[in-house]
Amino acid sequence: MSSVGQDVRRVPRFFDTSPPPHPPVSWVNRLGLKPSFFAYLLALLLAVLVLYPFLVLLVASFFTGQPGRLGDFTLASYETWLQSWDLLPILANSVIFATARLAIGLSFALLFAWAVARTDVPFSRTMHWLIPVPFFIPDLLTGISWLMLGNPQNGLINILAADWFGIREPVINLHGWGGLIFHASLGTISFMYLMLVGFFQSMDASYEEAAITLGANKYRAMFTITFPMLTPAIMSVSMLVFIHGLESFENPLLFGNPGGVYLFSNEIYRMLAYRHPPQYGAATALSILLIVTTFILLAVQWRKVGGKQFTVVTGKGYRPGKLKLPKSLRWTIFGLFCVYFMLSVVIPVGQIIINSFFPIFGFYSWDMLTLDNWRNVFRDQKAANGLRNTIVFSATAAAAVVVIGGLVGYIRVRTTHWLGRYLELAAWAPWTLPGIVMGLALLWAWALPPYPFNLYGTALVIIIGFIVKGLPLGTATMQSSIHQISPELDECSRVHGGSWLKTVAFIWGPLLRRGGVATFVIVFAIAARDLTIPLLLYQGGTETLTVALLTYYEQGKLGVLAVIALIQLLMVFCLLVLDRLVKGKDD
Amino acid sequence: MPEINLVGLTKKFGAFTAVHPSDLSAQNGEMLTLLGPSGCGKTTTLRMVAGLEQPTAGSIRIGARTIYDSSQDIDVPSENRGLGMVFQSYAIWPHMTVAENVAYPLRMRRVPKAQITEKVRDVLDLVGMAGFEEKSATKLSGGQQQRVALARALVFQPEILLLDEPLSNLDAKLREHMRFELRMMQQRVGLTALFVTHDQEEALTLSDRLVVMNQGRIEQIGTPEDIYERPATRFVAEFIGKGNMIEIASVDRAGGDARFDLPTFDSAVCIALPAKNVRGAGLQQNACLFIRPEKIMMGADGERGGQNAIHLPGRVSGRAYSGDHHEYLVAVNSQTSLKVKVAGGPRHEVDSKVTLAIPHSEMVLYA
Repeated sequence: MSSVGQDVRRVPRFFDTSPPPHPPVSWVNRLGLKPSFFAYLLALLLAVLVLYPFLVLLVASFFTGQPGRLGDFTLASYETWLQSWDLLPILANSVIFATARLAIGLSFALLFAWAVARTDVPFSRTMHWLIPVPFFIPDLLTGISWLMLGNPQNGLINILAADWFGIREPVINLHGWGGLIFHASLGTISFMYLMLVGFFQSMDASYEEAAITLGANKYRAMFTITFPMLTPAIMSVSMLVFIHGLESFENPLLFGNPGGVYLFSNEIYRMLAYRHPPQYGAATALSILLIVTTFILLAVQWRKVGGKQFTVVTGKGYRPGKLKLPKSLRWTIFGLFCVYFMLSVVIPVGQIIINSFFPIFGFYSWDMLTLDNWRNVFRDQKAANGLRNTIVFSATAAAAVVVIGGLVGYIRVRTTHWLGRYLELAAWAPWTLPGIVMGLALLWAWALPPYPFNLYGTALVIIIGFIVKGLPLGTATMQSSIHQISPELDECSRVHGGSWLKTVAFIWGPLLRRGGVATFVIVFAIAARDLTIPLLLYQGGTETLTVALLTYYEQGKLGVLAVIALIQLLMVFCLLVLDRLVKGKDD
Repeated sequence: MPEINLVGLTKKFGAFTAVHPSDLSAQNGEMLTLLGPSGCGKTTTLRMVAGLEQPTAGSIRIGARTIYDSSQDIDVPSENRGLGMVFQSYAIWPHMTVAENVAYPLRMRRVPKAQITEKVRDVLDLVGMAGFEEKSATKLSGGQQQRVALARALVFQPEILLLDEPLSNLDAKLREHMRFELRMMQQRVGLTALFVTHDQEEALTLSDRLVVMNQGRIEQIGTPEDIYERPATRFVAEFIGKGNMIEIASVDRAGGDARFDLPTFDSAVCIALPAKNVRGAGLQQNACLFIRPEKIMMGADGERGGQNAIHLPGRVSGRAYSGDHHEYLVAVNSQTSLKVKVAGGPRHEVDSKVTLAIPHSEMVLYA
């Protein structure tokens, strides 16, 4: 650095020439296109995507018709539910299931999040990398795999027990409550860890340290400071997980239904798929009842937690010191993680891999090894369609969510437009809608309009479904990336001659690339693993991989199924690698 | 370099008025500083000039060009106003190199590539960052980012340079250094600059003229000397530098002069001030007498400190040594203590009796 007195630096010669002209007035300004224009456009779009299907569903629940034809006004659909005891077991089952799943998921997620973020547990980086993995593997896939191992009739574990130890009774039965809660909890732990670990990582350690200097020991500081401070965050996440529990579909379909356990979503699906003619009225009314239940729960939570929900506990980028745990505890936690990872990833994926190389499920010997399944899968129209559709639908939806989420985030974070909070709310609302209800709503909504807008049975309606499904998490991810861009970075571009369009192109685009890719990956994963939306909306030719999986499962074609499942896994894996690469490049 | 004129510029956020109608103008080549506590409207004013905040009413002109006028519905977008700006956080784009950052305003102005390279090099040379062209912007220190931000704001020869607390994120030593650099740069290039700061020392050393703002209103506009020596309002007097404010119970303003009593421990001293030492509407209540600590002379008990001064007996109640001077707290009556700044001279112990001499000319009555 040169000192003040040293006056060697001259004003450049070009300062004597005339300055460059002002930037030309951008066409966006000439057309009067302001960001507020996009606010209205987005409001319209979200109204069509989110609000419209929901309203149609509400209206349809008071009519006798079926998608495409409303029929006559009636209250009968509600009367059947509210005047009989049929609703009670469904409600009870759903609440029991949601509670159990939440309790197990929360305990382990908290333990892992706290251990990874705040203690010297061994291999914490590996743990941090691997615990979220189950979230990216579809429940349908690991579920089917576990049923291959643990169903009471021909589950491999039971067969091995019979062969080796001569035990005739099944040693393990995953049909019914046990299997249901066991398997649903595995995915929940992963999801809740993902949602919670950030709070533990970013919480300012000086709060804890203050408690320690005042005489609390480390564990006391954790229970009197850390957890209470995070309570609002934990409560919000728990409520969402509880609601998702009420709405579960895949797990109860695979594990519960064979054991006679039905939840809301299964009952709705049963009304439509297993009754002749399909009971649209009853299914629609039940959907509305589920939504009402959800809203009541959210309202209760809103009153309880109120504005504290988003209490900021972030520190100043200061890495807290890690808590030293006794050796036995460190390794116990690590052991628990190993068991968790075995149960949620290694065993089910391993089983699928093995099964993909044998012609008949359960008959595994060296001389039966074959690649037939792998060859057949590409000749199979359903699988080929499914692969293509899943990739195209999910990618389209993910790209759309990146754009919509980015715009919602922009309007919410950077402008004071009055629509901002409503847009955010609209993007968040589908979070509370179960997939099967969303599917039913879209079925009603897009079968109703006249010809050019009638999307019944088209691929577009499934893509719309995926967009709506991915919107809440996608928008949240985009918005948090936008939050990290200092407003001065784009203001600086504006002042120095960039129109807002150029600012988006040259400043925002590159800065949001990482957040955009992360959003794309998350939404793609959500869409690719989703069964509930395409299940009600697909027609021959628009089936997705998940639909193909379920079909093959019901037909017992487990060899081809295993191959499809592996292809799907590979896809998710590629995306995660892409995400890593983009992150790595920026670091 | 043209001048800049703000007329009746107003900003309301809902029912809250952030900037009351204000008139301001910076002359050609002048460094005009907006100074005030946080929330006084200085940054809002600057952002309105930059086009980052839309004024509720008023107009802004740069030279002959109107860039904002609410009555004529003129609102030139930020990017077409031709302003250079240095932001508080420097706003160096992390995904670009130093050269790309500095070249951005030229690219937006469609300047040919060859010229861009040359201008970027020259302007980096000007701010002392020659040779840093290809460095990633994220690898720069705070001071270097500051220089790059300045280079970026200068490279397209803007009509006006806006500086939004550009020094507040630097550490104390570097801040002082950059203060001089900034001033030299602005004078050498001959830029008209609007500078926003809450740091009064920075404002005093850096500016040609100062605008002191409080609660959205302009309190005083003047040279640093005007502001420090002749604060126009009680707020300015208290905000700039250190000062003693003594509440005065009642003032007699018969015949233009102001007469009042200042109680001491055993009696009272009668003070008469000429009208030029009185500011404000001249209300008789809630008056305040203002004296800078360094203008008070201090001697041993009973010592006289020259003509045209009032003498107050007092007792030293506290003392602090700060390198080049002593600061004393002297009680002159049971309620009032005065801060006194003394460079050199004999040391007065705590509890010793002293006499303070305050020249009439240094006393200002805000009424």
